[in-house]
Amino acid sequence: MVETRKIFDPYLEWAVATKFAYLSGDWFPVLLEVEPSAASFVTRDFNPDLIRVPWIYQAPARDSFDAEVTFWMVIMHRAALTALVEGKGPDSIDDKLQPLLKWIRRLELGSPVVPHFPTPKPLPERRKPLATRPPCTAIVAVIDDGLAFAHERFRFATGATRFKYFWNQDDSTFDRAPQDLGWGRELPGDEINTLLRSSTHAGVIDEDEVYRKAGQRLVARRVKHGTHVMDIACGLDPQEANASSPYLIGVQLPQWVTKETSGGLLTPIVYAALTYILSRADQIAVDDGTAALQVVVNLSYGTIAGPHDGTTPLERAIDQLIAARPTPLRVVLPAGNHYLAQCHARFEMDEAAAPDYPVRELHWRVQPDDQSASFMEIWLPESADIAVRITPPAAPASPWIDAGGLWSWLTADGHVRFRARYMNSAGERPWILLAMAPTAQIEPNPTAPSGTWLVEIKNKGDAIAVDAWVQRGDTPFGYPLRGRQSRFEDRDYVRFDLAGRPKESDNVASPIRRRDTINALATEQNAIVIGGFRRSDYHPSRYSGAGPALTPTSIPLPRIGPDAAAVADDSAVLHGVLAAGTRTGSVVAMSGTSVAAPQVTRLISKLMIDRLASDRRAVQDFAAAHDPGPQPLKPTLQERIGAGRIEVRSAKLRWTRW
Amino acid sequence: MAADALIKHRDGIVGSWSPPPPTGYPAQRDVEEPLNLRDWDPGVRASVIDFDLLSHLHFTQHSEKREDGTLSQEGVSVWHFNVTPGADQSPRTTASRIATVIRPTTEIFQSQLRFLDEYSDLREDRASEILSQTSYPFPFWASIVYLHPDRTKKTIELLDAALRLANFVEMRFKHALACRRPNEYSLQVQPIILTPGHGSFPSGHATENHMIARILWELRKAAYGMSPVLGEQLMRQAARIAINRTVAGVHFPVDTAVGQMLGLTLGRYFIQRAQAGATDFQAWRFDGERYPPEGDFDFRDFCEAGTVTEKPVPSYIAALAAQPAPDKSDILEWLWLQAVQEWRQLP
Repeated sequence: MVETRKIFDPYLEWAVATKFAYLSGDWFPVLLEVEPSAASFVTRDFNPDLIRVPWIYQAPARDSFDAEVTFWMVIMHRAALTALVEGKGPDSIDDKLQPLLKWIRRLELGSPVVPHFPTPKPLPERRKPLATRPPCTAIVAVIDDGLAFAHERFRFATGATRFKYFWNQDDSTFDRAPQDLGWGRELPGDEINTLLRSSTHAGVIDEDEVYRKAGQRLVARRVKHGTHVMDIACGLDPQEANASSPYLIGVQLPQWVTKETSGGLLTPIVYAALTYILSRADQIAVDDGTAALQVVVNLSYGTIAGPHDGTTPLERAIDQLIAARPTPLRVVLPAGNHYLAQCHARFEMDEAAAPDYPVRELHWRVQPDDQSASFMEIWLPESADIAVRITPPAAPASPWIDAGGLWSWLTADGHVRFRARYMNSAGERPWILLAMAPTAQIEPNPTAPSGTWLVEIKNKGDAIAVDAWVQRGDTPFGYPLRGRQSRFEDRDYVRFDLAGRPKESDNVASPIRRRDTINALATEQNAIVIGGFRRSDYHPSRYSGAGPALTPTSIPLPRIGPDAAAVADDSAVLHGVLAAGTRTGSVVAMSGTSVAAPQVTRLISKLMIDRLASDRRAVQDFAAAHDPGPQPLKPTLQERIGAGRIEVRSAKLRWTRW
Repeated sequence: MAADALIKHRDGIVGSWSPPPPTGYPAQRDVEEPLNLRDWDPGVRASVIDFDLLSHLHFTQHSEKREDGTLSQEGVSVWHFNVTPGADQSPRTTASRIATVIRPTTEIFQSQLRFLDEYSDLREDRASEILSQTSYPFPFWASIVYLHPDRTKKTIELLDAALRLANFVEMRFKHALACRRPNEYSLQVQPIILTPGHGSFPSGHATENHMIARILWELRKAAYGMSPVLGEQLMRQAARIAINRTVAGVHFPVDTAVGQMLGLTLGRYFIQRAQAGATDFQAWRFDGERYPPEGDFDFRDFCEAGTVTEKPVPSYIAALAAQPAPDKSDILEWLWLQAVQEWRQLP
């Protein structure tokens, strides 16, 4: 059955089916893809009890958006989301939603926020930079968690900040939300400077006091992902910072997003962050009286499951924003850390006819005491026609679920604890989302049994290749243990080689594959994707995600893997690289492709300031020219490190460990 | 074994007993001479010093009339007795107030509970600090100024005396004010260390460490002059040690705030007792009933860190009328001067 209805994110369907039990809050950012374009989207008809459209996406502000952009972030009430998904809500809500429905092409759910919705007041018109005087620098923007904006590495020698703008999306004090977005708290550079000045004692800045006065509780811990990443991307010794050093914009994502590692709820607010960065970049140019500045955005986030063909809403949106901005915009993403996580399976199935349909099995291992929901996505080619059947641990099997089908497994009192949804929309790749309640809950919410779940796949049509990914669900660095990562299990999968090292190559006998474990947010065309390698021996970091992504070969730059790699570990035993802890003077090690990506962000900002090409191809060329190995690299190596390894030896990354 | 050997040795060498000659031996010591302290072992010195410090203190219980005319609930004051001999040689005393503390209301403690939840986020980050600070956090001070058991043994002895004084005073306050611990207000605080068996308010860690900070500041100042950076580092260290107790789950921020006031005040009192010259003494009143229920501890509210001076900015701390300066203790002065010597540069 081919569906013609609007495409609602099945993660949203799961949230509605579970009555938002695992999410708290009433207002949710959603990423909307609209037809025909965002510029034509009319906002005045929407009911403010159900939908709020940030001013920045409304006319006339959005006139500055180019027609090619088809994405919007709006904030919707859960009642509206429920009515949309269920297709029928109370008449009062349905009537109010009608004006919206005709515009939606796709809708993706985000994590809840506490919006401010200030009383509309006349906002300054968003101005586009019109001057032609060239700017003297570029902008580095970092979207992350735990940005220690008072840190010395982001200051001039005078003590003044290098930040132009900082937006904490997590701040619900409503004190100074950016008016054009409507939630969080914005700290422009001059406000940060006031805080820094008033917190200086005996010539020393008390950073604790800065954050206390600003009401920001982001960086109480010694080590934070965002500070480390940002130092690598743009930190400088204050003595070396000058007028041509990059301008900085920081966006702190809600901690909720970071904690909910599936990343399924990340996309709307990341899109809002990008919109924010671009609008403030224009403002900076207007204030400086220069032409628009080049912008490089570091987004060190990753997820595992997705189509891996560049079509997810956020990937599309990033591609559009890059293509639409006349002045270069670069977005740098990590290749992901799940090469050895056993979260990808791929197998081929022969063409079949009744009654001898071939059946393949996948074993999905879900840990006990996993307090976050677990998800698996099965992605198929467009022509596929399969059926799936689920057997929970110690429970009867589901019926076979066909295209367009839905199966829910309920608790004894009728709550959804597991849901399988076979999405089959015209013109789109069919896919299946398996969504599972947490295996442990302190609150009286439904749970699913931990153990090995059997997923059977029956091919009823043409010969196909089936890809399945288990979504990310671990606990991120620096947060209380909540989620535990589920994975595939298979008796033929070999984890260790004969010497006892983690085995880094696939064996065909097992459907579990290390290939194509690249960050599921990083398969688009225009973003720059960075893997990790070890400084000591140039070997790819064991966890660094591999391509290829499923881009059609007709595209000029198919994604064989990441575009390049940077140092993610100093050696096999010295994990990670050194950069700033949250307080001035502290140095800590963090590993992962998250810390490799910002090295290239830094490189790109330098290329921008030097007025050199800085796009994907330029980064690949740079990597190929600087890689220490024989060129061309073997294809298996390209899948992991792209065109080559970039070792930022002296570029103001002060610390090495030998 | 040693005794047996010594018996046999003496028998082997002593010879016949002869009365000692009048010279070649030390003379009789002077009475009540502080210099004699040099020769007592440190445990004895500690007893002598403690006696001198504690015998001049007294506690009273009373309510306070505020500047706005309102009357507080009953609080506790610690007083210093200046002693002069009367005509019949019996001591005659006049009292100077050192500090007064009024405890917060139940509602204020309840409002403060949310900090216990919020600060618990940092437990993983601070666990090693918290555990090392359950006993006297000497290493945290030795790492800022150069304390060493051989090089600065009198400084360490002085700090030990200060710590004992702080402990006696704070325990007396804790006993009198008898405030319940966070884990008695909520079952979800779940501290990561054993909640000590005494009251919550004031925080002993805050009291002791702010006192240490001030004394180290004064010692260094006597030797090298003012160093604003040192003041910053000392005050930040004291505050962090104190705040870690909230992270651990055993103190409210208001406990720390009063501990800071008490520690800085006792530090100044201790130094004035060790030195002649002060003409009066600034006493403070910490009014827990006026503490903002949602108020976190910010060490800068009451302290100018760069100069290590109190500033009566917060509405819950009142400056009391100047009190007569406490008289100098010759005993404490001796130890103070010994400690100062350890910081002087060699000529």
